[in-house]
Amino acid sequence: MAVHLVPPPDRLFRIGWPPMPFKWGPRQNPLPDSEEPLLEGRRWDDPDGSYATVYCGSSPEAAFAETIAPFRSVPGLRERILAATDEDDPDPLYDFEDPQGVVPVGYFERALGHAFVDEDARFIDVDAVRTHNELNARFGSLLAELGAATQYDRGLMMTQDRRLTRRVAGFLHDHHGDETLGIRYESRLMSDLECFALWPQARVAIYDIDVEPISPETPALVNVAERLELMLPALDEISRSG
Amino acid sequence: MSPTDVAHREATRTDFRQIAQELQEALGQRLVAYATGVRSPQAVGRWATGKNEPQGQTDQRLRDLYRVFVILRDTESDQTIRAWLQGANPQLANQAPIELLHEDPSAVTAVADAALNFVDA
Repeated sequence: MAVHLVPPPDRLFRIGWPPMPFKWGPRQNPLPDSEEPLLEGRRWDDPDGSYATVYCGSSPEAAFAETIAPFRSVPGLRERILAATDEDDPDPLYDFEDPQGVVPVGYFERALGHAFVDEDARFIDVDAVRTHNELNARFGSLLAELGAATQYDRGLMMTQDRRLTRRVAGFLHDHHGDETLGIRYESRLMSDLECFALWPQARVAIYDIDVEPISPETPALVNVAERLELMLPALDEISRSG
Repeated sequence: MSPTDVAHREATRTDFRQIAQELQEALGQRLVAYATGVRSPQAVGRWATGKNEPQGQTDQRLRDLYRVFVILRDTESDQTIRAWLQGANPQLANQAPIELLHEDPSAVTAVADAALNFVDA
């Protein structure tokens, strides 16, 4: 049995802080023990918290989508907040009402980084049947333990339960990390966006890192914001804040 | 010590008046009241001046919110933090962090992890 390996994309894209958007951040916290589904950490983080994982996309659109999605509006939230806090009105000095579904001006302090990857590098495609077969054969015990399903498939890889995805990532890292740099997966937000989770060994395989400022007129950002039904601030708002 | 540990320690050690003061200035009284499960936004102002003291679970929830805020405040503006707290977060099953804190105080660990990942991006 073996996992399905894929070559790197032409370039990797990541939104991060200039001048080093590909910086490996702090390690994640270990996955807590729980009999209930967990949201702790990101999808493919090390379950033991022993190393950091860097998340990127194979296009600027993928990088933007994953980082502006947290600003999407939640239907009815404002009304629920008002209903739950209706005993009196706030002191006007401390009463803020921000528009919902808008990417804030502060987001534009980040930058778009892009880098090339060694062409010999390989990533594990967790959406491929071959990878699912490897997991079914060697890590089926996890499914039995979680009562999640009887077989791994693409749907299961989309689960929000980090007990499953983080432990799958740990298994793949431990058993196939010597021959690979990380995981290739499909974005949960849009099926045409391809993402990569990079393990620490990828540090030596990425090169020619370049950094571009981003603005509300960056075409890939405009495209993704429209698809996510998010508004972008006007360009002069960014200029004023800078 | 990890950034979440640092934030946890600061949230545990800081005086409640300072926490309430910082949070009302950055987030507004209503969001703080909502996250801590109190109906009165002005109660937050009374904590900030020391006129009243949050008790028991409310004190813990105020510190939980502060723990998340501490992770975000070094790199993000107050407006960005408010937008992030009220947005549909994909890492949190598309729930708003502020609503998760309102509904389930034990969600603070997941919300703090999401905050750390947001500032890391």
